[in-house]
Amino acid sequence: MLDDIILGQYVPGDSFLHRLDPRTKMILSALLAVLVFVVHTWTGYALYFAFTAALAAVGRIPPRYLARGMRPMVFFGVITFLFQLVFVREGRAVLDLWILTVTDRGVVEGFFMCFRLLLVVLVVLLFTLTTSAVELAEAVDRLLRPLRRVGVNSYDVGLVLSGAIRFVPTLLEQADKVKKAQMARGVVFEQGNLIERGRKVTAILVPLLLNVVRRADELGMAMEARCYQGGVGRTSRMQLRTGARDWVAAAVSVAWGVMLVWAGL
Amino acid sequence: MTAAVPEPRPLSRQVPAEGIRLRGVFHTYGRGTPHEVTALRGVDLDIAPGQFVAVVGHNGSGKSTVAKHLNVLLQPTEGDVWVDGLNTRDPAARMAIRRRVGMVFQNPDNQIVGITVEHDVAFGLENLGLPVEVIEQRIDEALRLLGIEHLRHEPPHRLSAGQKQRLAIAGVVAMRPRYMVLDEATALLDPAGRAEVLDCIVRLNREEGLGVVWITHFMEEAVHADQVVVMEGGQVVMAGTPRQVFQQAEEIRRLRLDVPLVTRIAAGLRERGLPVPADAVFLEEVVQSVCRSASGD
Repeated sequence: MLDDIILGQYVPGDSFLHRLDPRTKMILSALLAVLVFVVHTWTGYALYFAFTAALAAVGRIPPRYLARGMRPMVFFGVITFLFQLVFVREGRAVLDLWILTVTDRGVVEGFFMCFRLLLVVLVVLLFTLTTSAVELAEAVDRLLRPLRRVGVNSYDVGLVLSGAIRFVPTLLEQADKVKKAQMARGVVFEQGNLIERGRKVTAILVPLLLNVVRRADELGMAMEARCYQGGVGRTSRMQLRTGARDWVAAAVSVAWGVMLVWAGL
Repeated sequence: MTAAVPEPRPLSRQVPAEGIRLRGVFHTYGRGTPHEVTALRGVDLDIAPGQFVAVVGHNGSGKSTVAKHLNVLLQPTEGDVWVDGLNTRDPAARMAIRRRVGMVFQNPDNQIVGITVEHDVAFGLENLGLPVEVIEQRIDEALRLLGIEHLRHEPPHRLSAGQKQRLAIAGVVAMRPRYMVLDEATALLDPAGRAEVLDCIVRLNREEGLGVVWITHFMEEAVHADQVVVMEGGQVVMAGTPRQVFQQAEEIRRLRLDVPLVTRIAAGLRERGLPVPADAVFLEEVVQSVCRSASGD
């Protein structure tokens, strides 16, 4: 299961998508994510999916890898679908089961909500798979820089993001160690009902949390020792450059979005 | 070098323009709380530029607390610490001191910030606000000095523990400090990783003139030092060259520390009547003197 989480797992490459300015990618991804909630027809979703598939091809992301990344989301997709089935009351009833009434509108809405969820995740995946954590941090820093005037340290926000990504493997390793240590002391994680299992998880979470706090403390000290002062007077090694490529990407995406909306799809 | 006899306090008014000087340093954690612990009780210490100083002592002797005073991670509760004439109490001098004194901690995982090796080395350099060209040059240099150029684009979690610790050192070396404090930097490493890291540091000290403060509880690692400082109960109890210190085997054992194996062997051989120098710390010198006496007979 954990191996399936590919969010934040950058796939190195030098495709058109990889070489885009991360700021452009971030803004366009956000726009695309909004657009998914505007689309409301089958054709619209088909076109939207075709566009993201084209993006994946341009970014040279293997479809199978993407599919694997989407796998953990299927569960949420199904839940969303069922929710719509139960709670949408408009439309013609197609199924009457005791207190449950499923309407035709409910079925359609169920599919649409499910598509929306999956497509948003797909867009986010395409962004993170083609953007390294360093670029991501830099983009966040630059995009949030105007907020410095109201006291937001944009550099810190970027650093927290890239730091989180940096520590994911370290913490997974740590969680595994704690789990094995608890197993060695007789905890059987695969046994018991849901409540018992939940209680056993705390045997992992508590030591893990303590460890994270200690780590954070030491990391903070090591950063201070390396003259960290919260981005003040700091140079950035990464130079972000917006070029013709970015304008092309923006023009294509915006034109395509406007078309979808204008055609009422 | 003479065994350090602590100078009387009034002399400490004289601050050397170079080197690190601690005078009458006390440090109490959690002062005014029920958990108050006094970790340092009047530490006097001098470290000359380019010197390799090993600070040894068992857990709780105060050696890590001393380390944290050297680059202003901690302030003395009483007494003073000067680095190249700058007092650590002066807030304006804090950054200047941190640029001079680099610090490497025990757990490499908790000091690596960067997503890849090169980004981590860049972190400190970016904090210093250096121009990009200089940063690139310094990254190349530091990776080369620590022998990890080939790992340049690797994420830190793919490195071995020894490589991670060398990366942590590269991140500090790139900032070109005058002194480097390594707080039990080899404690979590296997013997191969330990040798790897110690070799790098000895080389940086000999070839680049980097001042080193090596904090450890492995006495074997202290034999490379110019000066060994033994701590106990928050005080410096012994100081001198490795030969001077390890000769006092009784005293060291009383402090619940180990004399290096070579020194112990040398003492054993002497007891059996072989002409081995009492202050031997390197295996070669013991072997040579034994051979000489054997061929002499």
